[in-house]
Amino acid sequence: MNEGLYINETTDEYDALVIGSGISGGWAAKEFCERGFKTLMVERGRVVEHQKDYITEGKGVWQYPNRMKVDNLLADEQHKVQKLCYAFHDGTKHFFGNDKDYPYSTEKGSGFSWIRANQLGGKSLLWHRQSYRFSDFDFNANKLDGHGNDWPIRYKDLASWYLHVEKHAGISGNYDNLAQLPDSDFLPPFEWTKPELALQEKFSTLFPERPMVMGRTAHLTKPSKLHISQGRVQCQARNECQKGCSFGAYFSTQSSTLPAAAKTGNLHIAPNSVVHSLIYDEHTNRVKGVRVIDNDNLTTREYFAKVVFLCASTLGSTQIMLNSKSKKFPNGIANSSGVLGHYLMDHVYNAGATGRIEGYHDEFYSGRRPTGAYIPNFQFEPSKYKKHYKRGYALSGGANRSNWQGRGSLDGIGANFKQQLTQAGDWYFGLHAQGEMLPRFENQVSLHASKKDKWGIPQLHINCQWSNNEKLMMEDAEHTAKDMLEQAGLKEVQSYNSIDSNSPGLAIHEVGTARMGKDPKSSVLNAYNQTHDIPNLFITDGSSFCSSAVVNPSLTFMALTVRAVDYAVQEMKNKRI
Amino acid sequence: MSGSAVAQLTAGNALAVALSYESRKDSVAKAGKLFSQYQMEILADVCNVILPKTNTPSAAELDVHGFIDHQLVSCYSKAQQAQGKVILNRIDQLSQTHFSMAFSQLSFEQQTQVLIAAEQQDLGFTANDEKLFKGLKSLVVFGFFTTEIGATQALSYQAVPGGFKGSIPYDSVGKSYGSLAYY
Repeated sequence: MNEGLYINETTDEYDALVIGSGISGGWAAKEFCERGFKTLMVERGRVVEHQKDYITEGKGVWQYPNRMKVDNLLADEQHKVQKLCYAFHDGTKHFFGNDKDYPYSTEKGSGFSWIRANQLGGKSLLWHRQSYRFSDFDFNANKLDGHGNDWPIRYKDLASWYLHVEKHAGISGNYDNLAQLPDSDFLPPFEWTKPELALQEKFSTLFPERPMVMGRTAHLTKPSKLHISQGRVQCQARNECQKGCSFGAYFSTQSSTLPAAAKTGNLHIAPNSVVHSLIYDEHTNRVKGVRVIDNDNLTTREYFAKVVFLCASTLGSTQIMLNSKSKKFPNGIANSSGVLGHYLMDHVYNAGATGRIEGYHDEFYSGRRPTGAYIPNFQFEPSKYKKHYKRGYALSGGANRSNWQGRGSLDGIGANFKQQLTQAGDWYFGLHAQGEMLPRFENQVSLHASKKDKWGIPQLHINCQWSNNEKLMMEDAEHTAKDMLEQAGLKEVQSYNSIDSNSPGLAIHEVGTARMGKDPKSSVLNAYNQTHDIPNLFITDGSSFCSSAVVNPSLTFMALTVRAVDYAVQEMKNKRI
Repeated sequence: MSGSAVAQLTAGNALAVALSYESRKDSVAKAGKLFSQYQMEILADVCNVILPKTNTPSAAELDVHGFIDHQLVSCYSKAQQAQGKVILNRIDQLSQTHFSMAFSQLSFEQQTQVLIAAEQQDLGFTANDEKLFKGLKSLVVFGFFTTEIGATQALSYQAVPGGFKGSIPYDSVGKSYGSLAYY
């Protein structure tokens, strides 16, 4: 890519500073650049070039040092937290953080698994790509049951912005026409397998209020002209996305928003620039820029702009804000409400069931589908809640034929055993809960009183626990998933509930620590992701969420971000910023 | 700046490749990283009996024993490494007890009999022996199907499937897939 894109030292004042280059940062940069704004994207990590830096892509398992397993010593020393992520392995570990460089502490009796991806593209390279619009049931939830503050926006405020990002990103899915899961602008959905179709029909009779739809995902099942013009091609169904995809078949900063932003000529990127804090001018009540510490050599520099968008991830943005202290904001910039750092949420992914499907031995599939079955939340309004806990969960899963993996411990020695292992086994189908986590004031991130990281930035201290609501929800989800599979005729159904062994964080959907709201006394951001306190400071990543909702958050990060840019640009044109 | 980061990454990658396990023909001829030369011989025979030569090579021909010696040291705990030694010694010890010969001196049929006994808790093998043997056997299976021949010839390998089809006749593939998203 264009070498002139990357800068280090500059005294220029940009129109917009975008801190972070993940899903939110990529969109913010693209939207500003396309509106003619000189934009500087500040990224704490190294450059990852599309295609060129996908160093493990396409390698056979036999070409890895330990056949894709990660060396013990390396995992223990450098990836103690990261290795807990399902997508962490020898083919992806270079896109996860080195935990030795990113220390944080947790309050005694609590825990949080903080998954990092500090490089250009951030977690857009590693995400699971599931893409769902929020519904008005989600935006109304806090107001109706009294947990958390009311979202200051409703579906109508975001609908056109969802459409805007979907056309560019490319979302595959089926038009399901469900009130609890509004349709996106879809590319064709991925195909079902035969046993899944049969289950879908059984479920529709047994549980008509729990429809099973194809998981909606940011993959180009049939690229549009726009996608092809971005240099992207059709998804090849490798399902090895987290190694990076040179086909650009899934949405990432590198495949989609960065090329669009760069094409305008208005984009510069400052890589290896760890933001220490925001520079605040008390007289004008504006953020002037950022103080940066070099990722490699720890020297310091500053960048300046008229408007600042924080898109550094929920915990990243919160850390920067808490560390931006001034006389006016002694507890963190734009924190007159005192809620900054509070109301940390994740999703709760800790229960489910799996069973064997009889028959279909003459049926198979080709390719590795990068999505699966999805049963949207069916407890989406208070009248549908269970009596003993609030809100609900979705169930995701899919059918596969078993293979040699896991069969090594069955009985068998010799040629017949070997032959059996080469054959596809029975079909199995699972349903796994993805539940909402309630916003709670006690779930808080703060700056550690004394511990700092190698850049001299105070470490985050995280105090986050599941509440009884999440525990009761997972108990119920385990039984529900098991019951659904048994009623549908699956055999040897086994269920699990792992909430006691997993801390929050592993859904990698952390949100809520700089929430939006109508009331500046109880929220950090207004309805446009603009801080109540400082007009030219916006936060558009997950920290802005008032509730976690049930669906995966990334599509909403995108929509909130582009809407906020549009608003900021109007405000700047009208001289209010 | 990006140049140096890339160079660093490439160097790291080259290092990883240099350390990757490459199969060799003479793993039984000398001690491994974990196992003694004597144990390597037993392990090679165990590989040969569990997954023998058919229309594809045996696990021993693909040096799965050498890989297991490498993998246990790289990716398993000290306790699991010790368990590997324990079960190989048990196999040899019970071969001596029942056939008055070392495991490696037994015929293929006798070796088969011993390993079947190991997972049936027969011939003096205990429940713990069975557990350790099944653990070792899982590694043999993993080691075999993650070799290039195991993944691409014993199984059907789709490096770039070209898209997802939800329903095709099983007979059109006739095998399980060796190309997996997660190992």
